[in-house]
Amino acid sequence: MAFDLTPLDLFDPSSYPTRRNEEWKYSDLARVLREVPSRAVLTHLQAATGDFGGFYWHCAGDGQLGDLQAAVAKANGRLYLDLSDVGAEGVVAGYQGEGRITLGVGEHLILLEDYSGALDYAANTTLHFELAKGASLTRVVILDEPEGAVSVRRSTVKTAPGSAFKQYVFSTGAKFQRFETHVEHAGHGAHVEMHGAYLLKDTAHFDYTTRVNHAEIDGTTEQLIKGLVKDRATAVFQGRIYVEKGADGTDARMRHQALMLNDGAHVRAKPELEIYADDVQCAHGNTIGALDEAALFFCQSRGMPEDTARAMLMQAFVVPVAEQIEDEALREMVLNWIEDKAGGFYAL
Amino acid sequence: MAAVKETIETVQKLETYEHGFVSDIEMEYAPKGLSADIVRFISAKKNEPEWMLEYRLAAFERWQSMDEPDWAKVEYQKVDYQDLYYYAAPKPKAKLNSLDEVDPELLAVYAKLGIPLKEQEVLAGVASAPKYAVDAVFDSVSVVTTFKDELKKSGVIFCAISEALREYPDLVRQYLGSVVPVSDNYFAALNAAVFSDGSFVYVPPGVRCPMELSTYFRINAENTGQFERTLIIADKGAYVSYLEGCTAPMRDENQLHAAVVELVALDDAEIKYSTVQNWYPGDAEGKGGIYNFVTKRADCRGARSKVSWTQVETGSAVTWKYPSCILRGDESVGEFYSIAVTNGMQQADTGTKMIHLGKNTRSRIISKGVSAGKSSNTYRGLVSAHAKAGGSRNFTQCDSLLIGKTCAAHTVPYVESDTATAQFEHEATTTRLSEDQLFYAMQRGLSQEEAVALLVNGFVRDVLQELPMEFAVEAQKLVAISLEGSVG
Amino acid sequence: MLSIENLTVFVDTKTILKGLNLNVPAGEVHAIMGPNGAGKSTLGYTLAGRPNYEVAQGAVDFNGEDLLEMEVHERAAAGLYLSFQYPLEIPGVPALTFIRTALNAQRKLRGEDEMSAPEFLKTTRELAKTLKIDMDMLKRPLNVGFSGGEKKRMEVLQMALLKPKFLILDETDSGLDIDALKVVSDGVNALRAPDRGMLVITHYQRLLDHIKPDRIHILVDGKIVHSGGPELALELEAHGYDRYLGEAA
Repeated sequence: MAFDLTPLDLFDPSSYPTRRNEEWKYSDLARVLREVPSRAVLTHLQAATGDFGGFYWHCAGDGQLGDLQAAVAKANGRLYLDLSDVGAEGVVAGYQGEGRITLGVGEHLILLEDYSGALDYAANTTLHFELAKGASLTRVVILDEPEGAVSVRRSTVKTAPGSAFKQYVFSTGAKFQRFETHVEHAGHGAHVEMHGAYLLKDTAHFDYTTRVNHAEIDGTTEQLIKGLVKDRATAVFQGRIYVEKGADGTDARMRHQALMLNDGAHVRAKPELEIYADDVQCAHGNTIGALDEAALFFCQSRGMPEDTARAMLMQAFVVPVAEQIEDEALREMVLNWIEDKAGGFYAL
Repeated sequence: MAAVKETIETVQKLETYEHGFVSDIEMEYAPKGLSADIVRFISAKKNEPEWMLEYRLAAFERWQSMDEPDWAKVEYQKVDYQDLYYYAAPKPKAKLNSLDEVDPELLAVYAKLGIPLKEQEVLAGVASAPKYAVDAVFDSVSVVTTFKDELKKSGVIFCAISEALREYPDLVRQYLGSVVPVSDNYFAALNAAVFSDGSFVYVPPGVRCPMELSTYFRINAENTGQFERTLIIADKGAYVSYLEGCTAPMRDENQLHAAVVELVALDDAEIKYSTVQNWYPGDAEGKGGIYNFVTKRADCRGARSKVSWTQVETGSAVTWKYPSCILRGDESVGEFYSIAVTNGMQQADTGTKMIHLGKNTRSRIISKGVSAGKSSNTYRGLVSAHAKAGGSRNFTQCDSLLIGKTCAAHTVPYVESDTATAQFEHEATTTRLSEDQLFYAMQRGLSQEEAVALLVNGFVRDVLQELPMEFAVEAQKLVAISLEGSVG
Repeated sequence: MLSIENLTVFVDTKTILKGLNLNVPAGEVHAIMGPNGAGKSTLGYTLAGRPNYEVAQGAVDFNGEDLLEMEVHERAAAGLYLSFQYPLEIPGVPALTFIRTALNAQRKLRGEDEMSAPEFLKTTRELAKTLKIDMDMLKRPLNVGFSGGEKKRMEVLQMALLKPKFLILDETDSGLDIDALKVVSDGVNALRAPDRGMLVITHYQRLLDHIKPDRIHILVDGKIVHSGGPELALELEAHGYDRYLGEAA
């Protein structure tokens, strides 16, 4: 089964998907991207490569994703992919690019992708990952993009028997931000995890779309997506688990939980199961609601002022996603990032 | 355990579709095809008021500009709308004054289906058996409605909608199309243009309808579409429980059934609407069967009103149906309980919409899908909360059971919230029939089919309990029969 | 220390407490016993300030202060501790973090210095040992996946660390086996002090074998219908609440 990515060319407005396209029902790119971006070359924050806290630092801004495999070769299993860009003043600068990473038999890679830019830009990047037998890829993605950015970040992942793909996405949204991951699940003991946490405020829009296709027997998928939405921000989660005929022994679970902090914020969830095999265990859960009042009272009854209690519970809500990251340094880094970003949510 | 025993006995009967007979009844048809003239013909046949004809013609015009929806997970040979009859009615002997004048052939049909049309028969039954009134719709017309007079004593109007258009035009005009507007969707527009009959219920303020109301739909004629229209209004503080049942003969051609049901519940009113849908599903190769394209919607217009949909869907070749609730009144409640069983080549895309508009509105969705054979069974649902629907709550439980390696089960929920104080919870599972449980039951002496029936009935139990008792037993049998031959 | 006068409380328009009077001096342990639905838990929640527990009339004096005028966390800082019948699970917040946040919030409100991390850890470690709580458990999110007994021990650990002036134990024995009950009641007894009051809410006499009360009050239909010494518990155990049900009506 080929990956089903909606064709998109930033420089051809006729290719912009609208909400009439079911896949883009909650994220209308055509409405947001009213003018075609100019093909300006963007300045990169840091043009350096080298060491970044134990990672091999590779700058791939401005859609320069051509030589990723060479960076992987130098990275010794820990690659920091720096995709942060600075937009141009006064014009909507746009760029797009495509990159590819292949992991050989038994190879392991921890990939930290950093999308933290400045000023406005429109970006359309696609990464393709291919894992050989027994390979493992852990992908931690920080989407810390500027308020005015329009960004479509897509990826395809092909697993092999016995391989493991784990993805952790952390986002504060943008004017329009879509993070889309398509996984071709090879089964035969292959394991896929696709988690995410979002902290959205003001008018931020974040769309996390995942597609997992279980093509073979005995594959497992786990997903936990949690987020906070405040002000007039919009969170979209679209997850689809597709189990092909004959993909017996599949175990797939998907859970999305959103916390809404005020009226006028928006949460849209569409967690789908599409099952064509019978010997499967599949489940999804979705909850949307406010902070648990009983927990709040419990905290207050132990002496915490309401603000402290709320702040603690809000941060605690998204922390479990980060806590699943096995690599300690990376986990700490993400927990700090969450603490930093969660700060903006306390004042109600 | 009586129900279990009954299920087993029914399974043993090994009848695949017991309502598949054709009745030879003298019929009157409108010419084949659809045009403004046919719409006028239908309206004239019914002696409708002028505004109703205009309503129909406007709907027809609207329909012509619309496209057939294609978003559901169903594939079927498109209907040739010009190759259908839009009106087929048993030839009346004369104007009917009482049941005794109903064509004995027709009465025989209903007797064979087990539907009691003679009031005295109902009354002569077991003393403790609850009474229920029946509106029998045969192809395009309502042939008889029982217990009308007794209902009238308590102020309840229960009659064919064609009759209501003549007798209570103001009531019909006030509510018709107010829940499902003409422009809502392709099939709703078609129905508005050509509907020929259906049931009308009005329960006045404060009245608890003294008996269960029911409509029994029968498609008999060949190449005929059935377009019934049902309108139920529960005025302030009223209560009514309504049941509908459907069957059709076995035919090689697909037949179209495009109904519209509108429910209106005013302040403190409650409507309970139950369906056992057993249209002919087609044969094992997928030949024939009913296309069941139905729009059902309730408007919980009043504060604290409540509408509860319960459906058991075992029939039809293709089902496209989403009984929904618009929770407009503050503190109104919507419920949807569904069992959808597909086998053979059947395809079902069914679910609900719970649209929370009022404050502190609540909804509950329990959906149990069972797929077997080469069938496809999709739950599709929307739960949404408007920014002003503070304090609204939804709980959804959506389970799919797979029997065999060639069937498919899908779950497509949409959850949308714009308010911080709404609490939405959705849980879904997809599993196969447990081989361990099957083995356990068989070790204790049940045959494989009996064991399957037993386990499936356990799986759908939560929903069966929501049905009125007589229907629950019927539904349980149907579920078992529908799954015959599903385990090889 | 705690003096309740004519307390009437509504929950969702239903009157639960109907003019309750109660006085617990410092250094004493009082027990509230009563049948299900008498309003026992409501009393605890009302004193702690749970939202939706509306005080229609009455007054509560806590060490000379008007308790009902205070916010939930202010009551905690003033020294009121409610041990929950069903302690809540707080996912994402390690127990240690939770307790330390609460402790320092209380100290701050009282104008005291925060407890340093090493001192907090040292104190916690010692107390955890006596309560048979593993330090690893304290690093896990509070109460998440804990057994009933573990949750109750965690409640006792918190009261020991927060050092409240007045304890309300709401059905602390529910869900405990005999060994856990001993650990928990030993923990509570260790906190008995001349300047500390306690209110033990329980349905059964069993807990009172371990935590000996000075006085027992019988709560029926929102009112104290009878008060007496510790011997009252044994009488109730033998004869049940039946003879008191009539008195309320």
